[in-house]
Amino acid sequence: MDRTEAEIIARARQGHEEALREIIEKYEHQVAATVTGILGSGPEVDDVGQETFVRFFRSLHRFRGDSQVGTYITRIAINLSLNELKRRKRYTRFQGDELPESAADPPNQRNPESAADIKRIVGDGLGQLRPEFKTVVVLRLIDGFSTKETAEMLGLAQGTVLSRLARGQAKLKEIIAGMIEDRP
Amino acid sequence: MDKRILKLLYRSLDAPLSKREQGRLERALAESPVLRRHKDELAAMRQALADGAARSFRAGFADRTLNRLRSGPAREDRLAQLVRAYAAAFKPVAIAGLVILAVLISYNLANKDLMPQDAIFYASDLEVGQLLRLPVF
Repeated sequence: MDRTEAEIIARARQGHEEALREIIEKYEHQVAATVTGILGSGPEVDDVGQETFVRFFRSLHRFRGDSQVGTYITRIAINLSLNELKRRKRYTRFQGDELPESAADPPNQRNPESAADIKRIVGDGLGQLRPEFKTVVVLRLIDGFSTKETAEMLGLAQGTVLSRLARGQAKLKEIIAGMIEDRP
Repeated sequence: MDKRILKLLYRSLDAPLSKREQGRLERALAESPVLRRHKDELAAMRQALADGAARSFRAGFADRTLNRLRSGPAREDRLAQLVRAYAAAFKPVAIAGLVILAVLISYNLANKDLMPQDAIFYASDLEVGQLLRLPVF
C-alpha cells in the first residue's frame, strides 16, 4: 500500500466521506469487472458491487494493510458474487426452471461476425462455467491478476490455479463452439 | 491432438516454460495446423474476455453506495464494544453473587432465632467515610 493510499484509508477509517468516495471511484472498475464476470449482466450486479464496498468500509478497522486494497476488495467481491450465484441456484431450483434469458439477446439470433457479439457470446459462455473455473478465469483473464495473486486470493496452490485455468478455458472454448454451432 | 502438447500450450499462456518444453511446443506448433488454429482461437477468446468485461456500474454508483452505507447500521464505537465485553465477562460473577445473596437471605430467614428479621434486610445508614473508619478486626 503506497503512502497516499494509506492516508486515504486512514481518512476513510475516520469516516471522511471524500475518502470513501475516492476509494469507490478508484476500485469501482475492478469490482465491476469481477462481479460482472462472475454474475453476468443483471440487476443484482449493482447491488453486489455496492455491498462489496459497504462490507469493505465496515471492516476497515480490521484491515491492516498486509494485502493490497484492490486485492482485499476483490476478495470480498468474489465471495459476495459466489453467494449470489448460490442464491440464484436455490431460486432456480425453487422455481423449477431456468432464470429467464434476456429478451434482447436471444442466443439463436446472434451474429458472431460482429466483434460485439463475439464478446457477448464469450460472456454468455463464461456464465455457464462452473464457479470454481469461472472465478479463476475472471481473476486471471479479466481482472488481470497474476497467477500468484489469484492463488493467494482464493487460498489455492498456484498449480491448482493453472490447472483450473486450463480446464476452464478448454471448457469455455467447447461451450462457445456449441453456441456458435447452434445458431441458425 | 496430443493431450500433453495441449496441456503445454495452455500452460505457456500463463506460466513460463522450460527451454525443453518451449522447444517441444514450438516444434508441435510448426508441424500441426490444427494446434496453431487452437492457439489462435484461444488467444482470440482470451482477448474477447479481457475486452468484453463490463468495467463500470450504472452512473451514480458512488452515490448509491454511500447512501447505502449511511442507511445501514452504524459500526459500534469502541466504548460500546468495551462495555459489551465487560458485561459479558462479569455476567457469571454477577449471577454467582446473586445466588450467594439469595442463599444467605434464605438461610437467615429460615433461622430467625440467630438474627432478627430487620437485620437480615438491614441497610446501614452510615456514610461511606464512617464505614471506612470502622475497625475491620
